[in-house]
Amino acid sequence: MEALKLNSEGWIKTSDHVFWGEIAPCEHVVQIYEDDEAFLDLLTGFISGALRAGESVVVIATAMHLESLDKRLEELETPISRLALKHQYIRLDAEKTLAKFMVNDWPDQNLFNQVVSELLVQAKGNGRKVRAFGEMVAILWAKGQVGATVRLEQLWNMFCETEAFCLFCAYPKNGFTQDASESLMHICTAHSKMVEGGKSGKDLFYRVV
Amino acid sequence: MKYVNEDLWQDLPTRVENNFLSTLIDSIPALVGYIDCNMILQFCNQPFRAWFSLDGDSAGKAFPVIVGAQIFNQLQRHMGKVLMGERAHFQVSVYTANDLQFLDATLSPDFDDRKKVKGFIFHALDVTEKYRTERALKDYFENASIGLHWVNSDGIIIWANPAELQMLGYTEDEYIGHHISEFHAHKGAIKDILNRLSTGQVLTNYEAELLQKDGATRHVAINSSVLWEGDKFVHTRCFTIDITEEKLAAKALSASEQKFRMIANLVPLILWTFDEHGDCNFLSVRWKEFTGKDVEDGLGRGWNNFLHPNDKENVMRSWQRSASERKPFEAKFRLRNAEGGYTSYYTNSLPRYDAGGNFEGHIGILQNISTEEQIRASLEKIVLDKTDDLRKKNTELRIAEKALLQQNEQLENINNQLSSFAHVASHDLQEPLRKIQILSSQLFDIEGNKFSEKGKQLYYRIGSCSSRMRDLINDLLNFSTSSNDEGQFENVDLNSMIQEIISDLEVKITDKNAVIEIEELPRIRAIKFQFHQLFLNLLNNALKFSRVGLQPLIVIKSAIVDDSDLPDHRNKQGRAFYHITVADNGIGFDPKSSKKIFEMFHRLHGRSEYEGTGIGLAICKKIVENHEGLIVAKGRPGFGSTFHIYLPITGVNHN
Repeated sequence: MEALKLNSEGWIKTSDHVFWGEIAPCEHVVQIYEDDEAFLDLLTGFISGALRAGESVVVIATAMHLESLDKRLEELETPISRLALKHQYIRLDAEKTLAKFMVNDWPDQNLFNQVVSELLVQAKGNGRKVRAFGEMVAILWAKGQVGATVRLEQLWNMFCETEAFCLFCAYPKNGFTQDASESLMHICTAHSKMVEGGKSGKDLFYRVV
Repeated sequence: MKYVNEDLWQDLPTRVENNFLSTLIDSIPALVGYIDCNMILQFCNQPFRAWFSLDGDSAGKAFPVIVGAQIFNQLQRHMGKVLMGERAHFQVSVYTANDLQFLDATLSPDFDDRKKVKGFIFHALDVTEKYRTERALKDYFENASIGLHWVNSDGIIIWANPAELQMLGYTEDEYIGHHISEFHAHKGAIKDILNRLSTGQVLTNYEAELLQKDGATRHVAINSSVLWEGDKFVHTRCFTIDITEEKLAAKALSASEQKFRMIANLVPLILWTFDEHGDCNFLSVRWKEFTGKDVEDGLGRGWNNFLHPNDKENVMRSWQRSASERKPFEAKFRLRNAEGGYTSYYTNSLPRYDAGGNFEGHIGILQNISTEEQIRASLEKIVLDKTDDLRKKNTELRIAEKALLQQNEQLENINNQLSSFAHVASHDLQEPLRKIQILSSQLFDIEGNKFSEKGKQLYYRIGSCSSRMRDLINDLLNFSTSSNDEGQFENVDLNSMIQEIISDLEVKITDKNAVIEIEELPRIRAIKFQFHQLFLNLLNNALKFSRVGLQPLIVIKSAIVDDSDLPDHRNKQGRAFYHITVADNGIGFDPKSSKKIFEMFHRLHGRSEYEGTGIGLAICKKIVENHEGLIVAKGRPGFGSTFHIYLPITGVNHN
């Protein structure tokens, strides 16, 4: 393992390759990103690393991000179509998925468990490890549905605890305009690790929440 | 109440054993509800149902649906905090069909055995009325026209309204959070204010001076009391009324009054003011000096007592009319003086009004005019005396003038008689003289051969004497006619006239071999025969008094001058004159004789040397003066003579 460097604010310096390689099941990682490039870089590393390791990936993202992500994976010569057929790479539109379990602007626990359970069953297949990326929280956050966001994070956490899979969430930084510090704190405390940076092959900073 | 989630609320029966608790919760004057993490309302109390217009059985319904999107969206913002295990307190506003309503809401998390949030309690108070009142109060204070600030027990300003900030020119940051003493001009004043307030006193119109941001001072009246919570000093409530304008106006008024009193006491008059009721309310200190009594004795209606009894009725009547009609008052009267006598005074006053145009009374002066009265009387006497003198002198003058006119008339008569006499006498004398000359000539023609030498000499002497007598008679005749101002004035060309005279004198000129130079002469308005005589006499003299052995030269010139060039003392009026000179190179004369030569019968030389009657130049002078002119002679013995003739140019005679 490469030597970790800890700066004065508690951020640990590593590379995305190492970070995702050593990520434990049940980790709930969050990235607060400033631009889409940084986000997609890290997400690409998260997915490609899992696929290389023979793990399955569930990606629930906006249509735009899904499209960008596919291009990046193809550039990495990732056989996403083939992997999709094998349910090793499951990609879902975030808005559509949200609609399956949101009731009165609030995530219904039963419906959520049902939707995610089905996905995990597909993704695990013959016992593959699963990594999941969810952008639904970011959508709720952007709508100002703070309670629903935190509730959804909690539902994910509860699911992680029972199903043992690694979950990655990401929020654009510009969404934290109101009560930013308090909101950020609430989001962060719903996670186990927080990541900054993430461009492929470049330094990545994270800290344990 | 109904419990729908038996798993969550399995212990509730132990907590809520009977209707007592239900009744108790319903009696809470607040909205209370319990919501699980799936946003399902588990139970709620009566006020909750009433506020949200719920039927009796509302448990198990979706909380977002019950409270509506407006309220739920506001709850959402705080729900994250609650889900993380913290209590959230916030205000919710909701637009209803009629109005805007406010809830003071609290979301409290409810934990399971694992300390995980399993639901939350919604507690809300309808604070619409309170909020409205607070808003109205806040609006009132924020927009109040007078300053308002709060100060805590440490003397720190914790709030101030815009009016106060604007009055002093500070921003909120420059004012709020600072100690109040920083803004007081007098530290003792704010110390006193805080002491009074902290001991429970209420300040009413406490005057103080506050410092503006620009360094100026603002006068304020502070009304303040402390908001107490039990024994706790919460904060003061200070209303700050700006009284700077009033203070400055009062100061200016005071200064103005002081100045007025000073001036009033300095001027040598009594200054007084009366109020709107006609009562005297001010008398300057001269009152005592003039009357010997205190000022107080003259105030009110006291001044009446000083009036002379004979003046009192008139003055009072006049004053009452001026006071009631608010018109100027002017009067002369007598006031009792310090010696017990009476002194004359003159008073003059004007009505006075305040800035609002309200009548305030009169202001006036009282002037001691006894000296002026005496002077006036003296002056009147002097004028009367002088007028009498003048009248007498005028009478004398008129008498003298009349006498003078009579004398003039007599003189004129005598003069006329004399002139007539001279004329008549000359004519009458010429007749026997001509006979003497004719008869003596016949005598000589007949008997001349028989005359001895002695007889011939006597005969020649008779001829000579009779010729001289003829000349004398002619000159006397000329002189008498030259004084006749009844001659006809006509346009006379002097050039032609001189030529005629030269022609008359041709023999004499030829004999003397004289040269006469004449420049261009003017055409004048004159009595022609007199001017002919004038120039004839002058040219005759020039030829007669020529120097032996020297060719006579006579020069006649003319120029135009103004009266400032005239050698006499007449009043200079810028009039133009002809200046005609007749100069010769003859024997001249002593300058001392320049005036005497114009006198009758005055001769500078013996008859044996130069013939003549001594009347010629007197005639010349008379002729020139008869034409309002001037003739002077200048000369030196041996250097010739020059006769200067000045004749006024009139519009008529100017060529």
